[in-house]
Amino acid sequence: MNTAVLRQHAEHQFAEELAELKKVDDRTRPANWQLSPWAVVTYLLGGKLPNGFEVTPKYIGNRRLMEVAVATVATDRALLLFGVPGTAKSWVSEHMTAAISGDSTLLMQGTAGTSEEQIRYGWNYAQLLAHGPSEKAMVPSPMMEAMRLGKIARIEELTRIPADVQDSLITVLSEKTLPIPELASEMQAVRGFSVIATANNRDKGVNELSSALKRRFNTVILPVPASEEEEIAIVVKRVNELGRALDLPAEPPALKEVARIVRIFRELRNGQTEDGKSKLKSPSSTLSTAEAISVINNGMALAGHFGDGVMRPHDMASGMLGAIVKDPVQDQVVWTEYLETIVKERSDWKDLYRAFREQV
Amino acid sequence: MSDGVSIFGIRHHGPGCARSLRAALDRLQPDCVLIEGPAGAEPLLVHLLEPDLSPPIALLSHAVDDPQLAVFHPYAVYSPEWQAMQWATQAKVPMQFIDVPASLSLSWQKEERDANKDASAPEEEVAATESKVPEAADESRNDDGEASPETNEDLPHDPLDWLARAAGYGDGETWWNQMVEERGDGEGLFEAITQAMTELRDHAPRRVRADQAHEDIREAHMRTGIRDARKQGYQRIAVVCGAWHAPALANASTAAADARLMKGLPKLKVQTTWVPWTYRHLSMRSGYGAGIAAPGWYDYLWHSGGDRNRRAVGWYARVARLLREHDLDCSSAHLIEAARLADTLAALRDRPAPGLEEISEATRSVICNGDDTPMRLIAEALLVGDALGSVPASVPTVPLQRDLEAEQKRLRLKPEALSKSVDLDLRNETDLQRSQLLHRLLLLGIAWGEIANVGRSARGTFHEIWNLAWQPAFQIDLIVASRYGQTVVYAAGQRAVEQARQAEKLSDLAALIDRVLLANLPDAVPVVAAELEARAAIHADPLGLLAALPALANVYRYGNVRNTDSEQVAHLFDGMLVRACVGLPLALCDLDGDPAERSRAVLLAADRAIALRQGDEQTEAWQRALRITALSESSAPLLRGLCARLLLDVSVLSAEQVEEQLQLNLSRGAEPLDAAQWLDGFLNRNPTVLLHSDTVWALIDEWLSGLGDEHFIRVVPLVRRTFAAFESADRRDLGERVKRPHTTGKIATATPEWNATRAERALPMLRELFGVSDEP
Repeated sequence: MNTAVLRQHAEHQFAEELAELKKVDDRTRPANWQLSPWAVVTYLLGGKLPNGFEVTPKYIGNRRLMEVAVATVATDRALLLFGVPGTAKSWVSEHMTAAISGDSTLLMQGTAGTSEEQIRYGWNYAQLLAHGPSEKAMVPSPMMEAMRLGKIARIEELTRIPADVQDSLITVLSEKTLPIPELASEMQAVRGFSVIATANNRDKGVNELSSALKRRFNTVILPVPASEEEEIAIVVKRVNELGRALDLPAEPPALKEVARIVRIFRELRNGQTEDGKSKLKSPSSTLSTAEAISVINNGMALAGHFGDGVMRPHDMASGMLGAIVKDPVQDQVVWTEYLETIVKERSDWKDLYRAFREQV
Repeated sequence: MSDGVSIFGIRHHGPGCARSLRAALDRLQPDCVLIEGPAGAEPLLVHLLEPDLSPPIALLSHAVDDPQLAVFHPYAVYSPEWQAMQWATQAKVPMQFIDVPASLSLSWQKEERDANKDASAPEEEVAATESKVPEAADESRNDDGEASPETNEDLPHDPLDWLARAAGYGDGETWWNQMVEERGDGEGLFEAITQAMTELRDHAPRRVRADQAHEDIREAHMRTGIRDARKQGYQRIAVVCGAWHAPALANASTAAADARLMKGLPKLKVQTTWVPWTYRHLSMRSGYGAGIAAPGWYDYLWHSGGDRNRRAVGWYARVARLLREHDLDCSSAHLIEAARLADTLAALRDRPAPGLEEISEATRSVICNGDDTPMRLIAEALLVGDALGSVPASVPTVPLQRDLEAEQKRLRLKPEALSKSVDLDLRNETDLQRSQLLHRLLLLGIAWGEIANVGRSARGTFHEIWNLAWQPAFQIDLIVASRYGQTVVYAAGQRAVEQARQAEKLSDLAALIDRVLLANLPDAVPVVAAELEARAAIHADPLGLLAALPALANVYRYGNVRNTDSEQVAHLFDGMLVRACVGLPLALCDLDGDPAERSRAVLLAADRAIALRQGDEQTEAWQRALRITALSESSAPLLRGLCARLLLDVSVLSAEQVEEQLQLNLSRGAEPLDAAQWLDGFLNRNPTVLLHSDTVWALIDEWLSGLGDEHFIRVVPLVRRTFAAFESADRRDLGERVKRPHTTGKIATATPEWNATRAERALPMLRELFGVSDEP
């Protein structure tokens, strides 16, 4: 294996775990599955195998969600992972395909420019002109490959694909076949084929799925971290990793500062204070965990290059404002309201309140 | 004592148990049925024959002297006890309740309450006593609706949890559902249950519980009941009791030992009756503590028969119907896929058929596209359900009725059908209480009294004039209301809390706070206030917030007459005002026509409310928002004029600034219609200020007389229109005012002339009044 690559595929990085799981897995496997559904769930959530081998958790969160996701693919239905950015949708999709098909590379990245050829098949025009339409002149898409091999195809950011292109999936998903009218033939999917798509439910309306297509997916919504502690832990871990990678000159901030940022993000996102006592309006911005991480990184960079190397409230105030106020009119109202009714009231947040007031 | 006695250990409200029990009774053909229920309530069983008695209903036993001491035994159609009663009634077989009489359980409750009195707030106490309802998953659970302090935290609370853990389930509820209620067959079910419970009773660590002694007494009482039945010569006795008790009833304990246990127990005077119940009250969410999570699901299980293969599909059909009724898409294909996913999930979890959990998860994922909103609808409408029982008119009266009668007697307010008017002076203690009683009844939907605002000139604060008229239908309303509580004050509080949760508009909630304070329900105030606060926080429309202020301001200002707590109201008021002020200028942008007209009314009412509040910080925030609106270009001209006027009245905008605004808005370049609207807002349909304030008069006068001919002609119709809104008498006065010559040509200043010599003359007297010594 090439160790120089920046990031390895899941099935390579966790090859050992998959092999160990395979050893102990004696439950029935659906056709063309590398592991049984039970073992796939164990791979995702981690656990100790009967032979003592420890499987690391890939997804930290609700077990039931993963069970529904795996069961969906086992019923040969397509799975749609929905969630705000930064909730591990692609991560789950990659690890699920790695565990089920042993291959997470049959991937299509959805963009506004994704065309039907990229989802169905294209043509090698030199061949096409020289020999006419033939199997040889065809350039199969990852979808077609997955159908041929009985593996799982992944589609990232499904809702960014133009609606007419999205709808070319309908036949594939319901009849499990891909017609090739040019050759008067078709590609019929082998058992084990399925599709896992991810989409971002903050971008609703980008190219919302037609109800015909929606009906062919089972939807699992991946939530943001459930508790404040969990989220703080994730943020601290990532900030430390990223800070090292980017050679940021400042000290990683104290836990207290991280906790305050995470709390502001959580409160605005959840629409209520962490103590559950008062409700708030939520801004239009996503406020994902990933954004909290970047606010802190930004603050560290400011403190390191322009400050005294210790992150102060005013270092993060501008980043915070940028993350929260995406709509200059409505979000500004939400943010001012939050400042005046919540931040101002907290006696130990006076420094934050002042820093934010200066920004507004 | 097993010969001739068959013990059926059931779970209260278990449809699977009920079905198996019916089958077992048919097989056994007992000649006597003994049911775990309050002994002494048998006379009520005659009502079983009446068609009007339909479940869900509850046996309500309450202490005669203290109606808040009450215990409910609710029955749904799928309760095994209910089915046993039905079976016995149809087979004309005698039946008996064999649990301790309510008189005893209520006296225990009283002891407990007296013991807790210092420790807990009365509100919690009531909740605790009501959670004593034996409606929980199993007998042992219902007895500790509230955790005993000695219970070890690490141990499962519910003995079923032990079995469930051993079987690899998360909790006892799921396990029991899977094992018993959702099963089709009933063969050998009761033997198995008794065996499992025997094991549990032997091996589970005996929980240290204050009421263990009570439990022993109950079981002794039940054993005695069985013994008595045998003495009477019955051959095949069927005993229906909570599963937890089954082993104890089967074991041989001597009559003497049981009699010793039951000696010298306290007794209270008790009355028992049937009351209508609802599935909502059966569910956990009602605040009644222990209960069953999904009464609607159990109802479905009961009615759908035992076929577990078709069960999920039938349920999905109900889901589909519900969603379609609410205009949500749900096709047959959705149902097929949901059923497949539920099956696969069940297989993944090693379960023979999908249970409620699998069905719900598949519903969310396939039918609802992962969305929680339709799931909540399903939970409300299907899982809980809205079934409401009914009782015939012939059942004895409920304590709520008696409580009301007692109150009526105490306050000397006779229920009379003829309408009569009463004038209540709220400074008088009895009258105040009368008013509170009437307000409480209004909250309960019993409109015995109606407030008449007309009449006396005494406006509001000390006098209330009521028209009283009692209608016979109120009796029924009282029975219906009795599910909220056993006394008028408690029931009204509960009803108010429910209304608060259901209220749609912010102003409704604010009005509700007013009503709750009028009815003097201190327990309900914080709940309603919290609800209002929560709604206010997410309410996007500042005008909606402002519309809710007047009711609160009234409470704040006039609450003291009624000894209410104004601090809390002030806090609420301030919070809402701050939020409203932040968004107000934005909300008033680009309004015209009717919306602007409506906003004017809201702004005026809010302005008066804020004046009542008399807080500097609040007034300042309000004025800041008004100022932004008055000076902004994008607000509706009508509202800009109004804001300018409001600010002029309190001298926040100086005469010069207002003049500037006036000229700007009425200038040549301004749209004539906008200008007219601005003037309309500024004059505010109220000529008195024009008449009495020289400032305003001079401003308008100067503007009007300063107009060029052409402009004047354009503006005249508009001004005329504005002035046409005034009363003719007012217009005449304005005419008089015009005739009077101006004292000064300039704008008159508001400050009076200051004469220092004359002012000093008052100083000696003032010093004397304030008790200050001569010179400072």
